[in-house]
Amino acid sequence: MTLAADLTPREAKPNGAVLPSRGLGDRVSAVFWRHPNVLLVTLLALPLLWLVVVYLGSLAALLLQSFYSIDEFSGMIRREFTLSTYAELLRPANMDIIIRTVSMSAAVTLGAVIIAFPIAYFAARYARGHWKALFYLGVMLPLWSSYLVKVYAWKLILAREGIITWVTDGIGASAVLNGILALPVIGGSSLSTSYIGTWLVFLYVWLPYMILPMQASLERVPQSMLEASADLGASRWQTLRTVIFPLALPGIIAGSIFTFSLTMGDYIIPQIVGSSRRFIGQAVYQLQGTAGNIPLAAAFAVVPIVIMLIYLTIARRKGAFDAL
Amino acid sequence: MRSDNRPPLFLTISAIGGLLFLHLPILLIFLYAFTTDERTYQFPPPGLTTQWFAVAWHRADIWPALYLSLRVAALSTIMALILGTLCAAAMARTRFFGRDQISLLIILPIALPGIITGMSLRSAFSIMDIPFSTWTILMGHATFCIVIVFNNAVARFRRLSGSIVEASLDLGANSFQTFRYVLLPNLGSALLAGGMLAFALSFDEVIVTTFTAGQQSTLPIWMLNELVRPRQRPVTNVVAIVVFLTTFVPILIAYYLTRGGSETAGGGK
Amino acid sequence: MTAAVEFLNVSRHFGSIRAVDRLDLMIAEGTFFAMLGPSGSGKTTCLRLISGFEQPTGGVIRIFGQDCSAVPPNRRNVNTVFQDYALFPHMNVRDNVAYGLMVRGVDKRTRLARADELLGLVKLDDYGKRKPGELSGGQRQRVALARALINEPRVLLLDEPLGALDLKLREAMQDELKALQQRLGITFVFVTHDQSEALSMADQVAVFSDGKIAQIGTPAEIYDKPRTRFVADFVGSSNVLSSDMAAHFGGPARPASLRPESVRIVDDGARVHGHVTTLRYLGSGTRVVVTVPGGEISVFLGKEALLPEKGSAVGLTWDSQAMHVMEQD
Repeated sequence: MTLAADLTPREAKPNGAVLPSRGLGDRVSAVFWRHPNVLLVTLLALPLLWLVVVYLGSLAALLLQSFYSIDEFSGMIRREFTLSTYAELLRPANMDIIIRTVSMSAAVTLGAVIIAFPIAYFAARYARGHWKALFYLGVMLPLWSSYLVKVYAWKLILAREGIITWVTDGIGASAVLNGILALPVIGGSSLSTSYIGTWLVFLYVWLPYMILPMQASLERVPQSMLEASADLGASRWQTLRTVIFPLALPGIIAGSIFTFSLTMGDYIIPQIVGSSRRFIGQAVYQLQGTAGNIPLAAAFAVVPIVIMLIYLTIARRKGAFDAL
Repeated sequence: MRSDNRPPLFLTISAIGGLLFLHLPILLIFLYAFTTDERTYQFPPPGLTTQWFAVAWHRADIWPALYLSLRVAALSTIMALILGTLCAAAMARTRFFGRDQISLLIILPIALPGIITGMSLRSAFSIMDIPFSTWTILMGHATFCIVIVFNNAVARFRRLSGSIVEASLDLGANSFQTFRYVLLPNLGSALLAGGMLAFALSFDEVIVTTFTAGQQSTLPIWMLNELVRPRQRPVTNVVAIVVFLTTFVPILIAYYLTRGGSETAGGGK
Repeated sequence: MTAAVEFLNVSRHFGSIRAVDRLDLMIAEGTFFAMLGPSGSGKTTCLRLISGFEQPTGGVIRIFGQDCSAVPPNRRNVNTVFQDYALFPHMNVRDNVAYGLMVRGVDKRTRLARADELLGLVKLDDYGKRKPGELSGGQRQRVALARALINEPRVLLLDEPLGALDLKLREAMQDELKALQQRLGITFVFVTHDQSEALSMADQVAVFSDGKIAQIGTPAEIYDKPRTRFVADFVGSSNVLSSDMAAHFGGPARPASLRPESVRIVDDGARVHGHVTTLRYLGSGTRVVVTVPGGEISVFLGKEALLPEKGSAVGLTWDSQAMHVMEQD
């Protein structure tokens, strides 16, 4: 062995083409090497078992429950296949709940697009260095920080005796506030008991979910493309409408998946801030709890799944998943 | 707009306004913890006091809830770390039949609204007559925490040079030595960050928990009850501050651990 | 002469793609062996078959006579210098180099002392404490080399090790690698797509095409006597004369290769006349493309030569032995 001679002399060691195996670790590794699928199965077995049994099992249970019904006399769950529980969803009172929830989800999504756009555009195009980090952190921290605390903060803000009333009184705009609250349907006795209040809180809580994907897709718009548009004589507004917006669209759709789905499934915000009229989430929560009607609660929970599946199918066609 | 790098004033104002909109409300929580007004949310507070911190400290109903929340968060973080890392190791660089379906399955618990995960578990517990316990809460939390660890670990796996594992094997290490000496040190901070986020998410979770807790009360459930039927309002603020800081600090740490990568970005809570 | 590596009818298929297709190969001990070919030709797969990162779909691989079919990479006495160097980013240079001894349970003092010796061998004595991220590309390459040598492998595999370096550094490293190989006497197997690198460094070159070896031989044989049109084209851009043209110029009626630098522009005694269609300046000389009856012939002119004008009529000639008849098309 010339290398050894070249450097320090060392005691002779067997130096064949193959080194000896050194116990169990080597033997198991050899099995992984010969059969890579064994390694894959070993790694995936535990997590897959968990996700399939606990999660998919539960989803199956949800579906199963939705085809059961409740015995009107005993209040017990009748474990026989029936479509009558789904038929109950079609009752006007329940349809109202579904329509109300979907409308709110759409309104929240629209509001989020409008408020998120300047933030995302500024962060993607103009923010550099420390500002970039600040914007990123500024969006990410509210995204991750406590949901309940955020909702609670808005309860304080929107309360009749709270800061908004104080501000509007202070600047002499209480007539405007009262005018808004007097509006039919979306108004109410105070912001915290009106649809406007519910909408604001939803908007606040889910806004970061719109900003992040929007920013990601805007960052993929090359600077040169904007300049090309300006060079061709487009005004800012034209550039925005014909170049930036279409390019940001996949990000907007990706964000809207979050805002739409999260709004549809929430039951805490409308319970704390809003009128007494129920949303799907509240219906599910009350039916499974106080009312003890698990089958109808399950059927209600299937509604957002179906709506989201339709939404996702459309979004996929628009190429929104690249921005996720 | 010819390559000018100064943003239009209107844009700057709306962007900064948007950020303030995201942050100012939280400050009110802090302010109201010091108010002397116990019955309403009067603004500005009629007076300031620190007594509510002492009152909160002596409230007997808060401590068991805090303890339960910490226990659930710690246990689900550990489970998510194990299961999420295993998934990431299997999925990061291999292609196999059914891979896309598995990644969908990992993401689903967080992609679907919490109420569906919650109601599903509730349906299953009902069908199988499983009584509510710490374990039923844990089942929900661990399920949606897996994806957080998974996202962090997968992003780090992708950033690592693909051949360092091969280099380790080539130099004589077996799979276990390679994991111990090469993979673990490089994944470490990503796993820590994932664990922090999972802890924060679990500690704060309320929607799924209300379906899996039965009569038990975690700290967020305690808060929710106080919101619906307030007793001493400023005490709720004190607890809100505790919850906020318990989630805020790990999130900040996670951010600094994974700076430069894409681990936490849009991690989709 | 002992065979360091032997391939007997080895195949490696990925689905329907035959990356390596029924290959026979013998690499003699102590040679500097180059595997040359375009990307996708199977040369890297061959290297990975030797290191054990790929397993053959069929056939037998022997390393120093031992069948390695059931031997995982960590038990093969073969080490690799990776294309991206694959240094462990969390370890300093010394620990990187000592890694091979560490996982074999060599005590800390011994292995670090040995790592220092190898760092000396690659002229990086003072860099032990640095992290790989603080090194230049050339330095990383040396660390990777030292790390791969610490286990005293019987075969060293190098996967395009110079690909990421700039031209000047690459030429210096070529000389160093060659000198190191001669000094250590270890068999080097070297994968590259750069024909000049293969020709200047290797004792033996195997030219890969579509999972097979198109030709194997010394650099001179490969360059002067290409067996196929592919080899003639890939190893230096040769003129390939059709069988009709070859017969017309006095050879057998078989395709033949003719190196551009063997062709001269002459006034008298031309074998063929044609018109200059393009002139391409290459730095070391100029490539002149001349259209002749039946095809084109490229001529390489040195710096001192007088350049013809574009469109002008010229006569071409070459020595009879410069025309190499190829075995297959």
